[in-house]
Amino acid sequence: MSMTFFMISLIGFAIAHRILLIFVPTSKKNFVRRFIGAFFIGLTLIFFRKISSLIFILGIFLFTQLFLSVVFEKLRQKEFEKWIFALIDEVILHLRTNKSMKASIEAALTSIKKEEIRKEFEKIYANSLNIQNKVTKKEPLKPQNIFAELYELDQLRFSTLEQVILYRKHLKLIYTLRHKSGQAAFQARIQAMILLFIFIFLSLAMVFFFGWNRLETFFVTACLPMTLGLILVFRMGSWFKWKI
Amino acid sequence: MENIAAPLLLILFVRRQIERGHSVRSGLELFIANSQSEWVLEVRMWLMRRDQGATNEKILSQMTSQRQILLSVLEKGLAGQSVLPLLIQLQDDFVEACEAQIQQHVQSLPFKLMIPLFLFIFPAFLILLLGPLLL
Repeated sequence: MSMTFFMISLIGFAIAHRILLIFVPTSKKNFVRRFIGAFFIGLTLIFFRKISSLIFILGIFLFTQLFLSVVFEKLRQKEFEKWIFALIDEVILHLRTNKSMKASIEAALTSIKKEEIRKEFEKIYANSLNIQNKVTKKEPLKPQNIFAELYELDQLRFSTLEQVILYRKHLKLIYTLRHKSGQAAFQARIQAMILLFIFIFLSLAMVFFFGWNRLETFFVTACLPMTLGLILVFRMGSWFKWKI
Repeated sequence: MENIAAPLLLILFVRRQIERGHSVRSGLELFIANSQSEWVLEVRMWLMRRDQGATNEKILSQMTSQRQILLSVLEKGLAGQSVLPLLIQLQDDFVEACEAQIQQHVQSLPFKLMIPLFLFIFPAFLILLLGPLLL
């Protein structure tokens, strides 16, 4: 029993810590995320009276937080990938006018119309100029790796322009293949999202008809197989072993 | 999912290095250092044994025919022959093979998705719908 109380107080401490973090001045994005988090925790505390339900829902919430940060990072990377080819095209154009690589990259950066992306790229570019920030080539479509590669191409003895064009072709092939192999995973994810929305709307309808007190146990019980099912659907799209 | 098949990634690395004026070996080393695929270990072993002058038949026999062909082309490249046109040809073939496999996976996916649907999601909906009615 004392162990249960100890665990609950630990969760309470974690919640209090997260709520207090809202007041720490950070970026606008983080503030909004934390505010939504605290709002959700507040709602949970109001609606879920059973301790088991409370722990379960908060568990899902904390798990979602971890999961969401990965999703946000992937979305950010995808947004970058959309712009990276436009950037390289601009670099090629400026190189054709006999500008140096540095001047071409800087001119290409200013041509990006979306301000957020431009600022991010400029930050990454400034960091990549620092020799101490060694980059790995594990992710060829990451902007820092692309800037590093462009600089390396500039050091080569033969035609830089030709090399940049070949490099663009190389990246485009990687991008196209990734996009195609991601199709299956995308299909499965869409299905999982639709199922999740149906589940949420159905839960709301059931709460409307039967009231929360009558539904609470069934909702929590149904959440477990639903979560397992959704994770499986999400994973199955990407369970794929190359046969070549 | 490994986004790109490991042999295709190896071709891309080696091709890129050759186009930049580097050797086939540097492409292989770059692949070994950067790829997260399980095949890297076999390629590393293959390269190590080749450098030692040992035979690679046992390692090669465990690989698919496409991988064997690719490594035999790279073997020629390591011996100093020009392999860029061959690599470009192989790359096109591998891209086609990958696309065919992706298509096959996309076609079979709806049937595979039935398993979690019937085992987990359908019972979850039943609990939610019938639970309050039965109580």
